[in-house]
Amino acid sequence: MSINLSKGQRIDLTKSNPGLTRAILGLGWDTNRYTGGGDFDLDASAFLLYEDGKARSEEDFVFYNHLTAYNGAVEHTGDNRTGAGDGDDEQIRVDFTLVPPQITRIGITVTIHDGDARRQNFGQVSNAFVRLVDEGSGQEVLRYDLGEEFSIETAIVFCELYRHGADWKFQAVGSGFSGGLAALVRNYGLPL
Amino acid sequence: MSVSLVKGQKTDVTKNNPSLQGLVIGMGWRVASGLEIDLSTFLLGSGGKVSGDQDLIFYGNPSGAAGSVTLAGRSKRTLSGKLDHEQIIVRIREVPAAVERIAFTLTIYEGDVRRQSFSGVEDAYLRIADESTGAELIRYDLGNNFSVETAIVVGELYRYNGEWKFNAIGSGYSGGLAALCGSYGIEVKADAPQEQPKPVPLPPKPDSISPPAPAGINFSKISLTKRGDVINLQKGSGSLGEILINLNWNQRSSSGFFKRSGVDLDLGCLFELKDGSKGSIQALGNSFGNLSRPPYVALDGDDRTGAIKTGENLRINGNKVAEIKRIVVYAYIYEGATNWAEADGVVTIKQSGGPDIEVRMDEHNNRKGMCAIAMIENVNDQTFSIKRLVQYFSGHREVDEAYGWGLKWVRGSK
Repeated sequence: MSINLSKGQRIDLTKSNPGLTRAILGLGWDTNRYTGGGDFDLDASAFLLYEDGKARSEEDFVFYNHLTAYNGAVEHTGDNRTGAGDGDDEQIRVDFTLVPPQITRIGITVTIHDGDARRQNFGQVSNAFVRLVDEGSGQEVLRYDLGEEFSIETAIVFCELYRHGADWKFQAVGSGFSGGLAALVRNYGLPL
Repeated sequence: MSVSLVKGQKTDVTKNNPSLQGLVIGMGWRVASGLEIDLSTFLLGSGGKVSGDQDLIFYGNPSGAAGSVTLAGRSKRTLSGKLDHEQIIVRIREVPAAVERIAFTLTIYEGDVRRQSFSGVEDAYLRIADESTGAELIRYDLGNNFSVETAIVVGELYRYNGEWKFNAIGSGYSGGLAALCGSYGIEVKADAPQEQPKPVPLPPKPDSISPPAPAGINFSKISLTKRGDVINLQKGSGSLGEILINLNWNQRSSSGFFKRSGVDLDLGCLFELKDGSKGSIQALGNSFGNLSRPPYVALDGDDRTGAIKTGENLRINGNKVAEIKRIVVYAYIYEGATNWAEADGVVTIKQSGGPDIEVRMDEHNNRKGMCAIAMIENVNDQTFSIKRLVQYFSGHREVDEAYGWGLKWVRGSK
């Protein structure tokens, strides 16, 4: 039974799901389909963060040009250039057993590629969601629908996974930024 | 105090404004002569569809949603000192619950037949005013960003958590009103004309759809016809704004075996900024530039299918004129025969508040695959001058050398 989260909500992951060691974060969205104005290309990324909330090196940044980090602890399953179709548009897999102990938080983000130049923003994106599936059982554990509050943002932190004692928890974040992926990279402490 | 929106932006309308009863939705635009624009308002229920033909509000059906949405027609009002081309009154508290969205759209009458699109429409806007006070609450300027569209969804009022919000959409379809109707669930018979039916007798149109242009605005195009011709972009009261450089060429279906001319022209430029940085912007090599950061020049996505009939667009952020030294705009033939005569290319430079400037590539040299079209140079950090070049070269390196750019060139592909 999947749980629907709302913005800001936190929930136990591994504590209430003892068998959960590998999670698939499925991210999806719809873009308005109009003629002209160019296609949308949305990209999911993961930022692996230390205690201070910052990433330290390029290894801590999983995106379309760096698909896997720490021997598969976090893995991006590949870039979807159109966002067409139902279901997940992009997926990020996290193996909690492989995440190095110094990584205490994982930020999952979606950004609009070249949004500024193409005059695209999340106001033109609808039905964005993130869901977490237990890879072992195939069951959806939780789902967070981002709603319609975004407008001029070009980057959104969908959710964060974070350590709580020996367990991992999930927070529905839903914070938007302007400036696309570059702004997030800076925000998380990586040089461009 | 009016809120100014950008494309995609959403804003509250009734929240924080509990006394709001009636809204005046005002829209305006500037068009060249011969281009006729119709306003249509769609009342949408669940699933974003109309419940029937009566949910399309236009001059032939000027009122709907139990009278809560009405085309103002002759009873238009001057608000904040301006009269709109069209106004719609929305009694926002009286809209039946079944109506979840109200979409305001503009279409070009017979745009497909007359080969007209919203690239020929300028300074279109939508504003929302309080009917009782006349105060403008929200404004959305669409800018000159359209290409193929013959139908535009300008914006939508929509319900959210018991309140009404407004979403600036500014996107559209190339299929005119028929495409728009299709997307909102109104069936257009295949045999019917592809545009808004205009049967006789019609109620007289409330106002001339294309009012005469106010004095002082010149819709005519300026052509730079000889090599070396120069013109400065007009600088109005404010900043230069965005300068759109459009390359169009002959993509007409030719009779005979071949559907298209088979020539794929690409638009690009060399830029040099005041800080000394240089480079090129073009689809080849995927360097599309950036409008909001250096080099303040950006190329819209390349369309190699030929489906986009209005060619390719390069944009210059005129607000950054002081940081730009010079730009050479060029076109090159990426695929297809080196046949400039058949391509019949034309570059149009659009500026807000000034006339379009046209450079036709009419001095042909079919042996060389690249044409430098125009030199754009900074004038006193205030405006740009545009000089016709139309000189042919065999490649990027030659262009670079001819104008003393000094870049290193390697081969690439898209």
